Amino acid sequence: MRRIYRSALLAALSAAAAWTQDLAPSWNAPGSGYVFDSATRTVRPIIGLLGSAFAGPPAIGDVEWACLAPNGRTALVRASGSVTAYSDLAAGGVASFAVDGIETAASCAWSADSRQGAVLTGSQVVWIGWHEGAPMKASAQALPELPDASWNLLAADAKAETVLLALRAQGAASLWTASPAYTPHAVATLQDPVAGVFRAGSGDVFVADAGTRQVVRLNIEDRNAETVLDAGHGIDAPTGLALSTDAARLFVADSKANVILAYDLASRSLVGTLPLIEPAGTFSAFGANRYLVNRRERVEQPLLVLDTSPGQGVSFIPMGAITQ
Amino acid sequence: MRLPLQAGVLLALLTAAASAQGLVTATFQTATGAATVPSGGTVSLTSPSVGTAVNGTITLTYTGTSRLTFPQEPQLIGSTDFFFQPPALPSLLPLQSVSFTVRYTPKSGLAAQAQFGVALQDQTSFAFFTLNLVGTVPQVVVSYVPPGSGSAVVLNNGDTVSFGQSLLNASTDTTFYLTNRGSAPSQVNSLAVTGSAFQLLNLTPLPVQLAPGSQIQFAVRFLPRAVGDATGSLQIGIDTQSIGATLSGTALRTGFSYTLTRNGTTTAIVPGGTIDLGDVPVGDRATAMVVVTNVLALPATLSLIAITGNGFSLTGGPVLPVLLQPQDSTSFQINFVLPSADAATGRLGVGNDSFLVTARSIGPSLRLSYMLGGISNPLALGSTVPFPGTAVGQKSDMQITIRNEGTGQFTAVSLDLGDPAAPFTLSDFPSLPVQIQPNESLTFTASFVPQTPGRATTTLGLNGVAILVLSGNTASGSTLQYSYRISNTDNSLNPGGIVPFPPTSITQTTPAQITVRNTGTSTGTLTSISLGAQTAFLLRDLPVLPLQLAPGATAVFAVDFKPLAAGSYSTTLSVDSTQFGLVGSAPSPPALPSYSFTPSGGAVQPFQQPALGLTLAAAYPIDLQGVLTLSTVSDSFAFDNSVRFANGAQTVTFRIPANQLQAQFPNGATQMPFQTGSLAGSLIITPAFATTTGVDLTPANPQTVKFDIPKLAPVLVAARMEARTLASFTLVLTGYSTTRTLQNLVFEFKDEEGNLIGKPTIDVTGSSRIWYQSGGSQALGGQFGIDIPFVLREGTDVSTSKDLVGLIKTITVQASNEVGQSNLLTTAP
Repeated sequence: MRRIYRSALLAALSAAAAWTQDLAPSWNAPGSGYVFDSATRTVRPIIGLLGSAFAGPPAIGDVEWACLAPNGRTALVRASGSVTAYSDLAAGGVASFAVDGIETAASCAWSADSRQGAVLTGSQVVWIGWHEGAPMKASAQALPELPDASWNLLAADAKAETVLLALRAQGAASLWTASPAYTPHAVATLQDPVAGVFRAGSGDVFVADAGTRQVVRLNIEDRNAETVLDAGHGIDAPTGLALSTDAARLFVADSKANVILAYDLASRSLVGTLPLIEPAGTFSAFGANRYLVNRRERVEQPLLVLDTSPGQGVSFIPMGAITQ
Repeated sequence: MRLPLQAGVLLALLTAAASAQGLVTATFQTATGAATVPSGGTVSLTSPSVGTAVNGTITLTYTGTSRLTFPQEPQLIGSTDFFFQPPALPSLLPLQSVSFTVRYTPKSGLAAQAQFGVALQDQTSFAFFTLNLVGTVPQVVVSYVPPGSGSAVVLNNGDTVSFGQSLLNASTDTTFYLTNRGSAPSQVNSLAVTGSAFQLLNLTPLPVQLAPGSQIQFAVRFLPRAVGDATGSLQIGIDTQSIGATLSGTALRTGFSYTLTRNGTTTAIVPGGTIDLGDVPVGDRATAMVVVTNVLALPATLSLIAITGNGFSLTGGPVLPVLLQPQDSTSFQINFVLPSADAATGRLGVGNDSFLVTARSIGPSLRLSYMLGGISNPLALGSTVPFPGTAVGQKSDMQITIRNEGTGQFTAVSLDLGDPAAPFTLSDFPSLPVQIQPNESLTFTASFVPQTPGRATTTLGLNGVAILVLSGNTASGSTLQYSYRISNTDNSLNPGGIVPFPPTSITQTTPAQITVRNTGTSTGTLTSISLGAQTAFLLRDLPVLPLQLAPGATAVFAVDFKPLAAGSYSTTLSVDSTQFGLVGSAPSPPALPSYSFTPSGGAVQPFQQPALGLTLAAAYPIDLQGVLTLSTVSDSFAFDNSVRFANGAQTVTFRIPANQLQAQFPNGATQMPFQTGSLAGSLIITPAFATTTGVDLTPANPQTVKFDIPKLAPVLVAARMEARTLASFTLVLTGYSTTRTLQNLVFEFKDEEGNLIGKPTIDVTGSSRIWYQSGGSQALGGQFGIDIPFVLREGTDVSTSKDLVGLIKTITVQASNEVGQSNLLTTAP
């Protein structure tokens, strides 16, 4: 049922203007976007608002790999060996397009506005943008061919243009950057880089090194690096990094202690400890200021969500099996 | 008017053109603008498409001081794509003008050239004014290569592109080419396909400029997910034009059709179906011919023909792979034969298709077994039946059973021993011949009666055919002695004696070690060790039987007493023909101690995720397992699907190890989080307890924990502006109301200085009631989402171009229900 309201009168902004309004509210079920459920190899909607949400039945099944954008609706999904781009999962197949050339996608990162993604395949980084609802491969940069090389996409900047890559080859690890504007090149060496996060507008990127139990700040422009946090600050087994919106706090997931540690970057002091009910992994963006903390390996595991907004913390989304 | 090209005129125009600058100034105007042009200059006219006329106007203004006349008619020479109607030419006074309109109507995509010329004369000068005209036009041709074709076809608006037949879930790609065969650039604005079976591939970023002579391409993939005809459409937007085409294709489940010919009857069979070769006498061969036909319009390759299943085989098939032209066929034969009665199933694979294949081999099928110590032991045809060691002069009996497990009767004519002198006898069989019907048995007794020490064997014949070997060893009397050990105490055990197990708690185990020692002077044989019907005794660490036990040697095995429920237990242990009694008891498990929950219940807020722990008041001696069940009692008779444990269910299992207090949940933690949801009411968590073997220990009225969620004012969670235009926007608002009611939404619009510029109120009492009664809200408790469109008008003017929405800098909203008013939620556009 639709009801039209025409009675309200807004005050005039000026002597010459009188303002009226029409109000026709429509009601709907609130949701929190979609997630890739690795335990059931499906993409599932999150029904309800975080704090009182739950996973719905699968929207896409037999998913081999998926990378969902922070808006919770845009995604790249590999099933049966081919990758399909969805501009809006809520629209189903109507907004889906096959994307060739990234069938070996291993990881990806999205821009903050979900309009561009950087995809790491076995041999290159491919940037994919959206134009009028359809995906297009904007550019690509080939990765150097090295024996026994293993690449990992650690982070991307807010526009998903500059990406931070970790290379493991011949027993050594190094950090690389790449963007559509330049070919990939090494910027630092670390023992075991496992996570990264860009600080907007500064050229700085924070990198967690599980080998040295440190968090390092690296400027990818002048390549200066300094240790920001180490074992003395409580860093033990870092797996994920996130920054608060004002970039004043750094959140570090620790897989051994099953906690997320919050540090004030100015004083480099521990300002909070967020306990986790499941082991943490690499963070992935899940909306503004929100990050998915873990991957599901068993159907009874919930998904954990870190909210870096002031006063927020970690909540869980009960997922369950797909037969519920 | 068009004049033929005359060499003399052209020469005059070219030689005199330079002097025209002093007499006139000229402009050339098209639909896109005007520009001053010099005599002898070049101007362009661009038509949007072949056949579409565009005009250009040449205006000459006399800049002399006397009077300008035109001694000749203006001329247009060159391409016939240009048309010129000369006007009447008056004489011009200073600063007066005259205009000439040239029309360009391209007949093809090629560039056209022409030259306009006119003679000028005043009192002091004579000159020619000329202007070179170049006409260009884009001409984009869409073409594609139809599937299965090697040549491209031009696609016209309204055409149908057929992808033909395709197998289900197989893709067929068609490449489309957009080629600009014209002389002006074109712009491809959009490409789109509709239809769930069609996808765009290799899409170039749009819009894209298509220079003359250049080409872009893209592909459309036909990937049917359902059998049958599929249609879609292709829309191409080029400049201001749109080209549309219908996409069609047909999905087939398989590219082959099949017929089965058996016993002269031919039937069609479909993939996934069953091919039944029927009942076949044992040893006979059944055959069937399968014909495979390519029903596609394209050649198809058949790469696989295979069959699995006991008794099934294939003959007469083609050499693979074989290429079948459309409507071509090939064939092969399925064979079935089994040496014994049995039902057989298999799987026939042809290409990507498969069929279930069944047949039954009918006839008698004999299964042999012997019974010793209460245990039935199967026997293979021709195998040895081991009699237990038997003292000279003693007798050991063994029941031998011949069971017909086939589908036809069997006639037993004779039973006999191969060596009549061997110390074996047969007894307890009926008068022969006797019919053994399917599923019936013939049982008789074979006895070993040694008269002298040593080993003896003979064959057992059925209807004159040796089917078994009977074998026995003599043993000196009373050579085997028995003992058992329980709790490190050894006790002797005489034949017929009892092994008493101490009282054992359920789920606990009391082992007994049984020792058999050969105290005689000759080798003994252990043939079987078995237990009678029992539920709590288990044999363990048995030696490999039969076991030769030399003088002085021992054999050791164990019997475990593991009661699963309270009560008394007894059974028989048989060591060959010697039997012993096993007895034990299990006391009732102790009552479950009291327990408590942490937290202990009480008031909780909605949208919370507290964790619950369960602790026993005292340790329990055995492992416990249990289930917590979460239920809701809502004040609004609604259901909140978000009220769940973190595992995603409304139940969660736990374990409490023996002698510990805290429940451990599946993730190893001692607390299990749950969601309180968004409904006013109560959450009740009820435990159930049991032993790990399933003995229910839950009290008759188990203590529960109850959490109460109060009725609260609404809570607004988020608001954002969408669909913003100059004069309208939609406010998207989310939140929850634990009462599942809402009354008013009050908005405050403020400008940049914080001045209140509007405060509308919406009564949502009725519409929220409808929302909370709708199916969409039933599983979401008190949660809601509401889209509120605002249209702003300045007075009665609805067509204002002023950015009215931009004047609003903040919007604050507050909701209310019968309990009170919500939080204030502010958003900025």
